[in-house]
Amino acid sequence: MKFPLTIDEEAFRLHAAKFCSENVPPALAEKVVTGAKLSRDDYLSWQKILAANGYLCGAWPSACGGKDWTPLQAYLFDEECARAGAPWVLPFGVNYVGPVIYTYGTAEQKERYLPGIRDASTFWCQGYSEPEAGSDLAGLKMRAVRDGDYYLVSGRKIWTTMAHWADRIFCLVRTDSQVAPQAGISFLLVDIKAPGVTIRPIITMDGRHDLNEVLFEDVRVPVADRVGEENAGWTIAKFLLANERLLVAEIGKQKRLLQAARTILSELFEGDSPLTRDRALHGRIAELEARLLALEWSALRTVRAAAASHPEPAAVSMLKIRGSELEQALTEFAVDLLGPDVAAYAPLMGVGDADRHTLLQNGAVARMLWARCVTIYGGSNEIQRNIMAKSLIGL
Amino acid sequence: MECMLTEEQIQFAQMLERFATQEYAEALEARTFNRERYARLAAMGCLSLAVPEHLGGFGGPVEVMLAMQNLAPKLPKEPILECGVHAAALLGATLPGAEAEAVLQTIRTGSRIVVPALWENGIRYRTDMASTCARASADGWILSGAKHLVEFAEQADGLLVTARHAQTGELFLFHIETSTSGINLKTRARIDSLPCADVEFTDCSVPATALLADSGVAAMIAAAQDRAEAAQLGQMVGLMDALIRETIGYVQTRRQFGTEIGRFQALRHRIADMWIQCEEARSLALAAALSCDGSAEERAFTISSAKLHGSDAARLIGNEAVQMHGGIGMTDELIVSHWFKRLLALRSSLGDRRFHLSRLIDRSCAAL
Repeated sequence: MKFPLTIDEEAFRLHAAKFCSENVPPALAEKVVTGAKLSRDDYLSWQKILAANGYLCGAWPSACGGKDWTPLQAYLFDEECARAGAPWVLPFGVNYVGPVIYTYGTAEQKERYLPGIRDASTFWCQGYSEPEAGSDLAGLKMRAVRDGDYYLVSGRKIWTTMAHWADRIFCLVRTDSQVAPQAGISFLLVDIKAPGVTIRPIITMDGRHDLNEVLFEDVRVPVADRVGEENAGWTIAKFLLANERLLVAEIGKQKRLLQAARTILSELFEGDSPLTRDRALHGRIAELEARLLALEWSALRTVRAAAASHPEPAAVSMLKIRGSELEQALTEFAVDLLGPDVAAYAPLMGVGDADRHTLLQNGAVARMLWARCVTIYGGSNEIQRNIMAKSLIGL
Repeated sequence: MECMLTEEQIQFAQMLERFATQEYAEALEARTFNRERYARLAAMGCLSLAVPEHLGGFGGPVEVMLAMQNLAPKLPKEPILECGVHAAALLGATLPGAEAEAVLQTIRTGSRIVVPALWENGIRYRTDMASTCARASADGWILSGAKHLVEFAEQADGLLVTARHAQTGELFLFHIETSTSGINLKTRARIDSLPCADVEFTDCSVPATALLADSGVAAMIAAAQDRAEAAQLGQMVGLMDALIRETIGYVQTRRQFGTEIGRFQALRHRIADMWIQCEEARSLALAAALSCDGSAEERAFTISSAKLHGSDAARLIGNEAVQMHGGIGMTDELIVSHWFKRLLALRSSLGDRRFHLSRLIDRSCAAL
C-alpha cells in the first residue's frame, strides 16, 4: 500500500524521479548498486549535479538559498535519489553544519560558509566523538583556550568520517572546565588543513578507510569562527543531532538493499536447483518486507507530523533504532544467501575487477560489515532507548 | 497519528473514547453481552462503518480502525467486529441483491445481529475449503455439515454460511435464520470469554431466498476476511497501547530496592521496545485500513504484512507486560491478563502468523 500523498506531493515525487533518472550517471549508479567503494570524486560529482540544479540544499529556507522544501518533500527527494542509484549525500555540510550556521551563525559566517556548502565546493566533516567521549558526548575534553582573537585548540577527535577528504571540520570543544560538562562547550568551525592538525586513518573491519582520528595541537582558530556564544555549544549540538536523526531511516536505501538481496538470490543455485525455490528464504524476505513497510509508514507519519509541530522525541529515536536495525537485518540476509562465497571477500574489489554477480556478492559482504556501525553512530541505539524511556516513563 | 486523519475522524475517535469510557464502566466480571448496549453502539454509528453509503452507512476502513482501537481495551462482549464489520463486508461483497441490502440495513441499525459462520474443524483459516453441503430441494436448499467456533452464534439472529453444492462442488453463500430447525448450537468456552458456539446443520431446510451468492464466493469471503483482519489489527493496536500504558503506570509506582522499578534500565529499554512495536503496528494498521479499498493484490500484501508484524508485536508486548507486573500479572485480578488473553485470541483469529506468512511467501515466490 502506497502512503497517501497530496496531488502536489505526488507531482513533486514524479519530478524528482524524472530528474534522478536523467541525471544520475549510470556508471556511478552501478558502483552504488553493487556496493563498490566510492571515491571522493564519486560523492562530489553527484553533489555538484544536485547543487547545479539547486537541489542540494532544497530543504533550506529560500532566504538562505534553499527551496523551502517541507520535510516530506526532502524525504521524497531522498528516496527518489536512492531509487535511481545515487550515492549518499554526505550530510556534514548540507544537513548538519549548514542549518547550524543559518540558524545560529552571524551574518559574516553565513556569507562566508553557506555558499561553499550550497555549491559543494567545501567538504565538511564532523568533530564530535573523542576517545573518552563516545555516547557520553558531554564528557568531551578537546580544549579551546582564548588567545586574543584566536582560540588555541588541542585534543583528539575520533571516528571522523571522511576527514581525510575534508576541507573543514566543525568541532565541539571545551571552553570552560569549571562548570557542568554541558555548560562549558563551544561550537567551532575549523580549517582542517591548518598547522597543528594531523589526520590518522582508521581502517574498519570491512577493510576500507572511511574513518579517521584527527589530532589538534595548538591549532589557531579565529574567534570569529565560533558559532553561537562561548559555552553555548551544547544547545547547537543537540539541534544538530535532532536534524541528524530525522533523516536517518533512509527508506530509499533500505529498499535498494532488499532489491540487491533479491537480485543475488535470483542468480544462486544448488546444483541444478535454483535457490529461489527455497520457501524459507522467501519467508525471511516477507518478514523483512513487513519491517520495511512498518518503518516506511512510521517514517512518513513522523515526517508529516514534523511539518506541523516538533516531532515527538520517542518517535524520532524510534526511526533511528528501527532504521539501523533493519539495515543490519537486510545486509545480514544478503550475506546469509552467499553460502561459502562469504569468505571470498576483497575489500577494494570494484567495477571491472570481476563479473557483476561477484561484485554484488562482494558488495553485500562490505555492506554487512560496515552496517555494524549504524547502531553505534548518531547516538547509539542504547542512547536512543534512554531518550525514549525518559520521554515515555519520565523518572 | 492525528496528522493522518481528517478533522471529522479525529472528532469521531474522541467521541468514541468518551462513549466507551462511560458505557463500559461496570466491573469486568459483570460484563456480558447486552442487547441494549448493542443498540447504543448502533446509535453511535459503530455498526454503520462497513455498510455502503447508499444503504445509510458512513465512514470507511479508517473509521473502522479508530472504532476498534478505542473500543477494544474495554473488552466489549458485543459483536461489533463480527457483525458490524465482517458480516457487513461479506454482505457488501455480494451486492447488488435485495436480500443482502435488507440485511445490511438491519445490521446498521442494530436491530438484527448477523455473524459469519465460515470456519470448519480442520480447515484452519482456509474458509474456501468449507465442506458443508447444500442440496437443492423443491423450494430451496438443504444444508448438512458443521461450522466451528462461531463467535456470537447464540446471540445472532442470522448466520452467513458457506456451503458446497452437492453436485457441482461450487461454493455458495447463504443467509440463514439461526432459529431454523435443523440447526443445533453447542456452546464453547473461549479464552477471552466471548460467546461462541459450534453450529451443526442436520438436513436444515432453507428457502431459495437464503442463497446470497452462487459464484465468486471464494473471492468474496477472502475480501471480507481481509477487511475484518484490518479491523482486528485496530483492536490489537488498542490492546497493545493499553498494555503499554498500564505497564508504564505500574513501573512508575511499584517500588523495590527502595526505588521505583521504572528507574531500572533493564526495564526502561524494554518499555522503549514495546512502544516501538506498538507504534509500528499502528502504522501498519493504518496502511491495512487504507489498503481495503485498493486492489486485491495490494490489500493482501499489506494486510498479511501487518498481521505478520502485529503477531510478533502482540507477543512481545503481552509477554513483557505480564513480566514487568511480576506475580500479580499472572492473575486475573488486574486487567493485564484479560488483555493478554484477548490479544492471544486475536493473534490466531481470521489468520495466524503462519497463514499470512505463507500467503506472503507465495507472492514472493511468484515475483522471483
